[in-house]
Parts: sequence; structure tokens; C-alpha cells
Amino acid sequence: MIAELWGQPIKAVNLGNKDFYEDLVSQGVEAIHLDWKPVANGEHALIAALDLLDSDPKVARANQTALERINAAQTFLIDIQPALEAIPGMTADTILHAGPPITWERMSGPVRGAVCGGLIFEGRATTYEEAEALVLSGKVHFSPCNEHSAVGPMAGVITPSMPVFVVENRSQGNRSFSTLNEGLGKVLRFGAYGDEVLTRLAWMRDVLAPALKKALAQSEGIDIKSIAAQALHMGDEVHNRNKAATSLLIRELIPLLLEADIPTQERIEVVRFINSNDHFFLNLSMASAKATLAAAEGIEGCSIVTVLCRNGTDFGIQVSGLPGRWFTGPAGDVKGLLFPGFTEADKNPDLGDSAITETLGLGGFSMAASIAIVQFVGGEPKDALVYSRKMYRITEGSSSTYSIPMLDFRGSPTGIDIRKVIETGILPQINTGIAHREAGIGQVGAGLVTPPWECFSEALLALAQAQS
Amino acid sequence: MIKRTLVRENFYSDSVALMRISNKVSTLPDVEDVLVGMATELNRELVESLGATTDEVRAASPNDLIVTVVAQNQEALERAFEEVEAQLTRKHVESSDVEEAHYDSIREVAGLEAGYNMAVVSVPGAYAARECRIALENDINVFLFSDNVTVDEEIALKDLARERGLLMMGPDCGTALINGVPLGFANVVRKGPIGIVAASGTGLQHVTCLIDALGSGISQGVGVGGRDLSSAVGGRTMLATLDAIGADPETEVVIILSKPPAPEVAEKVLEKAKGLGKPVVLCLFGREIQADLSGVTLCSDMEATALAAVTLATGTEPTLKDRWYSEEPVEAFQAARGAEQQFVRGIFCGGTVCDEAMVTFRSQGLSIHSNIPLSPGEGLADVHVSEGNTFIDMGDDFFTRGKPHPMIEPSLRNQRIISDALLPDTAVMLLDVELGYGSHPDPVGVLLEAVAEAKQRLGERQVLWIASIVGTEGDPQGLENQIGRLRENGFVVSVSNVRAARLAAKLAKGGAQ
Repeated sequence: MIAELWGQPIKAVNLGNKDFYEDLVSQGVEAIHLDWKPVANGEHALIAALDLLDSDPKVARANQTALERINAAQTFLIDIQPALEAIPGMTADTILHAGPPITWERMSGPVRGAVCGGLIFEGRATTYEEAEALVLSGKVHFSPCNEHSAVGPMAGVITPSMPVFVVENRSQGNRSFSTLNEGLGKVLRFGAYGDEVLTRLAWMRDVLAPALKKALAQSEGIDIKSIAAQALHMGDEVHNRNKAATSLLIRELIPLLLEADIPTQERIEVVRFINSNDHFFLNLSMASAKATLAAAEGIEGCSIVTVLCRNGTDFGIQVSGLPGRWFTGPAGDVKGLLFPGFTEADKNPDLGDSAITETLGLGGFSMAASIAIVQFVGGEPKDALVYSRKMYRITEGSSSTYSIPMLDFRGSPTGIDIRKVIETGILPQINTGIAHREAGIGQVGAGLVTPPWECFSEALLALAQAQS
Repeated sequence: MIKRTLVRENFYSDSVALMRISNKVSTLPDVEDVLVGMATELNRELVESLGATTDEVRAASPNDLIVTVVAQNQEALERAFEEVEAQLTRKHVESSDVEEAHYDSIREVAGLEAGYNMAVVSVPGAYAARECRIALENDINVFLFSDNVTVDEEIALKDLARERGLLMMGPDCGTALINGVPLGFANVVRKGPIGIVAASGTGLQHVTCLIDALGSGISQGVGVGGRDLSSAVGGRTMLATLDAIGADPETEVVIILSKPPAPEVAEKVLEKAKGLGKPVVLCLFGREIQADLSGVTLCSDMEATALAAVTLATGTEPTLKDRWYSEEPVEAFQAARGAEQQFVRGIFCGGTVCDEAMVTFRSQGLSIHSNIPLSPGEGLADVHVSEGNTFIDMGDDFFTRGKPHPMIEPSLRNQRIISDALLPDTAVMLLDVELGYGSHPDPVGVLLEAVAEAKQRLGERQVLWIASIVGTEGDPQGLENQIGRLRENGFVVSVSNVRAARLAAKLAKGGAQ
């Protein structure tokens, strides 16, 4: 009843002309001025799509379900297997890569380098030129990791004989896969394919993987979600900083490695290798995120993002309610700090599946847990708080496991809702490494990047169409 | 002439703030034109018309900021861009210094425990309806200042409000006084026994000010929006509000104020009014009603409306003293008046005061012309050119496209004031001044700039300056100060708009001199 308003103290929310707000405040009226801007960038077709999806109770229910599944995930590292054996749909001629689908013609330098390195590693070619000729002959089948429950950092190349981590999500029974991290410098994921790289890959296949497999066989699986959650309290955001998580993983592995039947020299090499690489946990963080988000795929009407990834040319996203469909736009320019000796011209566009961590609410979304990373990507400590707080405005809810001490232990922002991205105009904040644009040089810096707007606007229109 | 346009992506700011920056920067020497605005279709066209558009402008979205400067030389151009930058960034420094809670959406605010119950919406019309819907869905009443909201949207919002038992004021609602709190353009008036429901912004303001001057006060003042009493909208907010005002124990007398409504809607409103069980004063600006008016007092102007309501509320008939009036300027003008000085030029910020002045002239048999004609024969061939007795509502959409309302930025009418005062056949300049919240902090100061220039250019020749005031002692601009400065500068100041109009009519050619 309108009459109920008479006599109530007026408490006003003002949007538009700020003078009206100031007039209210000057009279002692309780008022809030919104930092308003046109929703959906002012695009009317998007506003209509938003209105349709907002008024559909099925969408809200679907998103709740997605968040519940994400929060319920229990991810364990259970095994290491050759990709051909482990990954569904993998064949002897398949090469998996990061990001959305792409042809050889459009691949950026580091991805081409990694593909050729992978073919040499598989014994299919002996030089870059031979590998390229093999690709051009049409005998190699490219496919995105994400279409095979897999993820790979940077170029993300997975070839049939590479060993992969097998991570199981015990709440839904699904599995995900990722390669083992090679370390920094000249490595395949940045497109390097020299002898040093190939020798290391062979050692990883022949020594590291069998040793870890034996170690894991001594356990019921290693709880990756739990390690990531603890690492968030120790200054990692488990995308660009994995120091704490790698240390925690080593604590889990040491007893298992000691118990397993592994020649002493190999055991020493394995421990030294893992211990020398701060990012060893990254690939597990990614596989765990993938196993978690895959459980939320394919819920009808759901507007939650299940994949954010890049192939160095395109950025691609997938949305739960539109399973299997890619929405792409140009991969962005990562803004941040470059290592000494490199210039802006050296930067490759945004690359890698590692943004799966942001998709889950870690990485750039949990910057507030990782103040130490801020300098690395070029910012101030308070920026980290701002980034994380902002991400709550585009997510369905928060994590029940990952929490951010600086934000009063609030759960990390979880379940990116494309409706909220479009409504607020806030794009997901990704915290990432930068690859050199030429194959094989390696990482040239790190920084921040956001996906292109059109990934979300096109996904929103498609979802609205599917729901209407 | 040098032109340059820059686009800043994702830099949204409210149009009023940006207009102020445009105005300020355009006063720099050798700067011809400045446009600082969001890349709306309208602003993109404006840049195009300045001959300064770029591909970037054509591709820009309404969340991108456009800055266009036209200057006489490079130096002035650079200075202008520096000043724009300084103005834009100053705002940012201020806001980041203060650690205050930050909200971007109505939903966020609706989630707060404090119980926010009124949304004051003045965002661009194309986006306003959605925000209002969200407010209503979250049990927040709405004061919708924006115009350019479609009739369909208005009807949908008002139906949603009725379903949820909420008040939906507007679109195009300039004024309200809810529980003593002025919203939008509104004056500081005493609390009292009189409730007003009005489809007229400055009308509601003027009547409440007059009631305050008469020593009585206001219980509720509800604006319904300029289109509420059209056939399409059917008085949805008016009828719902009358029910609520009828139920308000603090309201003893009800005023209904509107430009002439659609006849079938007028009938419904009248029926509702008769059934309220409280005395009702109805002002439709001279519109005759052929119906049983039992219990309803019909008035034809705002002063009469205020007097009738106060009489009903207090039981005694008050008088409204013309306390600022003085005969001297009139006599001085009459003595100096040239034979060709025949017509009155009324340049208004407020639409309803403009209407009332026209009705006053008409009732005295004087012919009138206007950009908002009361009937088709009373238009202007060119709204920029006055002819005969002319009444211009500077707040009409035609003049405000892409600009703030002249009550916020009265300088927008200064050029017209100067050019009309200089017309050889102008006898009287009739002007309104609105005080109160929402209005410019010193409207008289702005007006006097135009008057000073006009007087200087008129030289020996005189015109008579008449002002009507909408304001109260409590208004932040200071009533006595504003009026004092008008009088010092030779104005005749009337206590009500209708008296100002009557005086002007008397002095027009063919008026009762």
C-alpha cells in the first residue's frame, strides 16, 4: 500500500544527477548515490536478452545448481598416465593445444614452436621444417585441450606419449588431465623445441612420471583442492604464484617417494626437479579447476562460465547452458611488467588454458590473497583488494573452500555469470604470464588481461535465444 | 579554426556533470565550441555537425566519453583539452580520497538492511525504465525524473507499482515532497495539512511555496509525471495516489493540479476526488468542467488554488501581500516607452508557469505565440524568433536535447533573453526564477548577467523587467537575497506568477492600460 509510505523516513538511492543526492544529504536524509553507468554498454539487444534471462526462474535455479556442484567438488591427484591412454578422444595423430580451436595458419609463434617440438618429441619429425611439412600434409589433427577434459598452460601442447596428471573429482566422478610443468626458461609451453627441451621432456616421460606414478600408488590420492585452499592462506593465488602450493605438494610427495620403489639417483633427481620449480603446482591447480568446472557443464539455462582460455590468437569461453559451444574474440594484450631486455614488441597476445583458475575464482579473482604477486604484475597492494572485490559483482556466489584472509576470510568469488558481466560491464580479471611472440624464447613478463567483451555479449545473446 | 575530437573508452559520467565541464571550458579565450559528453547517438550527431567526427566516434558506445573542441588556434585547443582533463580527473582524486561504501546497482542497495525505500532516477531515458523496474521489484518506490521513457514502459511500470502497492512518480516528474523530504526540484516548505497531487513540476513547486507564504503547510506533495493524465496512461498514478492521500490522517485538504487532462481521465479523477471524503481543490488552468462539482472547488490559477486550500484548511481566508512589488520601475518604463514597444516576451525555465502566463493573457483577450502552444493557432513559425506576445518554455525537449534543464543551468536561456530584449517591439520581459533544491545555486546571478548585457546594448531604450519567484524563505539560495538583487537591478517582482502575468498583460498592446 502506498499509504504505508506516509510517515516512514525516506531513505533514498539516487542514480543520475548527483546534485539530487547532495541536496538530500544536505537535509540530513539518508541517501546513497550509485556509481551508475548504462547497463550492457548501453546496447539495447543485450539489455533485452538480460531482461529475458533475469525473468526466467530456470536460469537462477540452474546457476544455483552450478555453484553447488562447483563448491561440492573434491579433486584428487590419483595417477600419471600417457596422454594417449588417459585422455578421451586422444589419438596417435592428435595434438592438443590451449584455447579455442585454431588452424595452423592462424597459430602464433609459440604455439607453432610447441606443436613442432611435440612432433619431434613424438619422433614424427626431426626438425621444425619437417614438422611443419607434416602439419601441412594434413596428417596431424589439432584439437583444444578443453574439448578433452584437459588443460595446458601457455601453448598447452599435449602429444600422445606425454605423461599427464590424472585428477579425479570425487563428488561427480569426472576426471581431468594436464601435462607436468617443465619449469621456466626454454620450455615447450613457450614454443622452445631445442635439444635441451626435448631431453628434459624425455626425462620427464622416462624418470619423473614413472617415479611419481609409483609414489601416488602408495596413496589414496593427493587432495589438490585442499592444498590450493591452504596455499591461498600462504600468499599464493595458484595461477601466477605457486610457491606455497608447490611446497605443500612436496610435503605430500616426499614420504610417498621415500616409500616407493625408486632408484635413489632418480629419487634425488625427481625431488630436485620439483623443488627447483616454483610453478610445479600450476598444472595441478589447473587440472583441479578443470575437474571442478567440468562438473558444472551442460546445465540447461545456466549462465555460468565453465571455460576461459586463449590460444595466443583468440580468446574463447564456454558457458554451462550452451555446452560445447565456443564464443571467441581476439586474444588481448597483457598489460604488466616485462623482464629486463624485452620490449612491448616482443609480447605474444594472451595465451594458455591457465585462465581456468580464474574461471574457478582463483588467480586474478583471488589477488587479495596474494598481495606478493601485485608487484610482479605491476600494481600496488590495494589494487589486489580492488580486483578481488570487483569480481564478486560478476559471480554467482563465493567458494565454500577457498577463502581470502584479507577479505575477512570471505569465500573467493565463484561462478562467473555472463549476465552479470554484461550488466555491469566488468570483465573477468586474469592474472597471467606473457610469452615471447617468437617460438622458444620463453616468458618475457607477467601482467593483467581481460577477455574481449564480445565473448560474453555473443554468449548472452545465444543463451537468451536458447531460452526463448 | 582548429577542431579535435578524442574518445575515452569506458569513462561514464552523468550528463549534468559533463555539461558543466563543457560550459566551463567553452568560456576559455579563443575556444569556440566544446562538447564533453557520452557517445550517445545524439552526441555523436552533434560532433558530426561540428565537423569533428572520426571513425572512433562512430564506433563509440554510450559508455565512452567524447571530447570535442573547436578553437581559433592551436594554443587555445591545447588549453581546452588540458582544462577538460583537469576537470575530469579532479573528480577522481576527490572520490578516491574518501573511503566510502561504493554501490553500482539498485539490487546491491536493496540488499542492505537499512531499508532504502525511494529511488530517485535521472539517468538517460532509454535506460531508466529498467532501473525503475528493478527498484519496484525490490519494493522501492520510484521518483523518475528522466523523460524519453516510452508510454508502454510508463504503463508497465505503473501497473507493476500498483501490483506491489508502491508509488511510481513520473517519468518526467520534476518535483515531489514525500514525508517532508523534497525530491528533485523542490522547495523547503512547512509541514501542514494540505496534500497535493500534481501532473506539473513547477506547478507543484509554486503552489507549495504560496501555501508556505500563506502560513500553512504541506503533508505530501506527489508528482505523477506530465503524461499521467493522458488517455493512454489514464491517470494511473494520480488515482492510486488519491486513494493513498485519502487514507493519510495528516492530510485534511487535497489539491489536484494538472494541465488540462484527457476528458475521460478528468472524469475519473473528478469522481475519485468527490469520493475522498476530504475537501478537494482542483486546478486545471482555466479548463471548464461540465459536471457536478459537489465538494470540489475549481480554481483557474495557482495563487487562487493555494488561497482556496489554505482557506479550507484553516477556516479563515488569508491574504497574499504583494510584498516585493514596487510601482517605480513601471512608471519609469511607461515614461520612456517608445511607440513601437508593444509586446511581452516571456522566457521561462518552468513549463507550468509558462502555461499559466499564457492562460492569463488569453483570458484577457490577448493573442499569444509559443513553442508550447495551448492550441494549434498559437505556435511560432520559427521557435527561435519571437513574434507578438511570445512565451517560450526553455525546458521543452526541443531546447534541452543533450543539455541539462534550464532550472539547473539557467544560462541556457540567457542568449534568448538578450536577443528578445533587443527586439524593437519588445515592451516587457517576463521571467521566472525558481529556487529550491535541484535548482541552480544562484539563478538570479545568472539571469542578471543577461540583463546587464541587454541593458548595455539597449542604451537609452528601456524595457520593463518583470520576474515571478518560485521559492521560500527556507530555500538554500536565500529568498530575500535573490529578490533584493532583482529589485536593485530594476525588476518588478511579483509574489505570484499569475500576478506577474497580469501586470505584463496590462502593459501589452491591447491590454487594459
